[in-house]
Amino acid sequence: MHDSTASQRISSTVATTAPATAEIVVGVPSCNHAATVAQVLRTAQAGLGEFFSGHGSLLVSADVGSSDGTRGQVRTLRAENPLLRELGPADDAPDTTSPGVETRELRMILEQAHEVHARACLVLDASMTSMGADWVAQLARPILDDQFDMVVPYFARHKLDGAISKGIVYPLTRALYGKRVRQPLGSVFALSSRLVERFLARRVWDIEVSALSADARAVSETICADFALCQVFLGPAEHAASASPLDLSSILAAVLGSVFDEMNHNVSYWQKVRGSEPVRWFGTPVEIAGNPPPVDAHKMWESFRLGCRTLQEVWSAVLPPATLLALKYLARDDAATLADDLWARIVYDFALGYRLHVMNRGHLLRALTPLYLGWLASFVREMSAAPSQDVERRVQQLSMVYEAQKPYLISRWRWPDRFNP
Amino acid sequence: MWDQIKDALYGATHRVVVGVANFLPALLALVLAVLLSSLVGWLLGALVGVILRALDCDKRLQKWGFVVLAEWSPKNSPTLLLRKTVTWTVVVLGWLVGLTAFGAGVTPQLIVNVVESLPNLGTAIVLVLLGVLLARFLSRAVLISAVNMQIHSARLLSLAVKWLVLVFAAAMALDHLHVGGEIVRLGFAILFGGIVLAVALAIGLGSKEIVSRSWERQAHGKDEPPEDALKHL
Repeated sequence: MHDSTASQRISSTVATTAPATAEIVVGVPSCNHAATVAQVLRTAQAGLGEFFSGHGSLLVSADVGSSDGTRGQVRTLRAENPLLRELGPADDAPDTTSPGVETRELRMILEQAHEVHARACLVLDASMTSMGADWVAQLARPILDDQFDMVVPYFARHKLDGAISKGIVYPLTRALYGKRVRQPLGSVFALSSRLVERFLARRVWDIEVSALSADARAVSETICADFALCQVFLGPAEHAASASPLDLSSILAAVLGSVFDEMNHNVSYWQKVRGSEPVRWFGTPVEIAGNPPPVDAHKMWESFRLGCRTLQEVWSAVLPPATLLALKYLARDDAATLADDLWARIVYDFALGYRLHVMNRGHLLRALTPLYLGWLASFVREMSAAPSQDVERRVQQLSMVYEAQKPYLISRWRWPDRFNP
Repeated sequence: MWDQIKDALYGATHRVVVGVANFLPALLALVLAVLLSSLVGWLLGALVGVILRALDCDKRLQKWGFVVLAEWSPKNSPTLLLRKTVTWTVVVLGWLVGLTAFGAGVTPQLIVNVVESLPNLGTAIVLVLLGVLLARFLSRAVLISAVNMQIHSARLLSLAVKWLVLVFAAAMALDHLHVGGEIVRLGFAILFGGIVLAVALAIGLGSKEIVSRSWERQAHGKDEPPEDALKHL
């Protein structure tokens, strides 16, 4: 955990003095986003000017360790924009002490929002190139006008994109916490002053959380603390290409590591939850234009089969014998389908293995990759010709199977040795 | 004549009785030492067994990668193996103490040698255990990464890493114990080099098509074939 000295150090690094009060704070964690940060800040500025000109507002760029000239870009913008504030170390030296860069930047934005008594604190993604000025209004309105505490986005996407969210994070979050938050990994969100205060008091982002899953952590904390949460339809989410893109197994490890940590953290909450309820929507759904990119399901299935041939020993530490047997049978077939109930149980078993430390956690999470590709190949085969609405219905169907299999998770969680089918 | 026979008989009897009298306490001491050491060994073994069972040693060792230890253990239980090791170590020590009571010159020297070699033996055991742990960790990491990179010889790579580390650890342990001397170093060099060569050949032959395709693309200035454009997040 982050100690109080570190917290004071972060507070003392605020580079410029903020106004005494502001109704809306828009924060952008900017570290190493020189190519896109100016565009995002300008769009946010335009949104504040267009929709909230009568309200006090503050635009914040939080940057603790850029080495690609991001801070130079922000300083150039500051010269033309008096509302923009820059948070970060007084000198330009990259600060690489723990916790992670992203979490420290989030905390700095929250501290700034708390300091100016903001009613709404928006966190934007500095790598997002498709952001519109209206997003600021869409994210802030439910908090300012409808007293919601957290607003999460729903981005328009091609029907097969976001498979980790479709196949694992959304159904798992829904089954665990009982709320249908369709895209918990949106990378953009808005918080009320009450929630900002709670997150700071509870030090939600004082631990090392991957940038890929900081919002998932915020969502679960919000639900468990019984704060009001809603979703807004935004446009398509286009991100600038990263200079060092992560491979699939690293993405899975980063996202699921945080999600499983949250499971361990909130066990007393989710064990009492049964079923799920919808979360209120704002805005109008947007259809994404153009055809989805081609996907090679055969290659994914081959990865799954290779995993079945070589990773049995690793999986046997996590998966029960019945599941291993089912996987063996599946791998014999060229075009079999990984059933929803089997997939849900596999995810639950990995969550349990993560909790019990059955092996190095990095190894455990990476060993899920071939199984995920097996599920994805089945999903792609089934849905590649289907319209988007059918894909959405299929995701809801999978989520219901996750809910139906929850007693299995609870039994294994409570009695990992005794209940091992 | 009769007196001489009588003297000889008395002398012989006396010598036998003295011999037996000299031998009996030492024998009794040996029996006592063995009995006592057996009792202490059994008690210590039982205590070790209780502690290890309370710590769930078998499962923990399996989790940490000491699968081989379980395979070599009676009833696949490292706890039982450790328990028996403790018991028999104490019993053997009891025998050595008992034998010393006979005044044999070799035995004290044997005890001194055993005691002197204990630190080296301990270090060697620690080296081997660390080697087993490291081999297990690295081989699993290589196996999972190779499968995720869709390398079909993932298992071979993983096995090679495992045995490289194990051979390295075993050579270090033997060198530390001064066993084998140059032969161990030579054997290690041959084995290590052999494994590396075998792996290089296997991977080279197994992926020659990939390499030739890559060279071909470079020679003709073609780009890499596009990966799936699917966005997982």
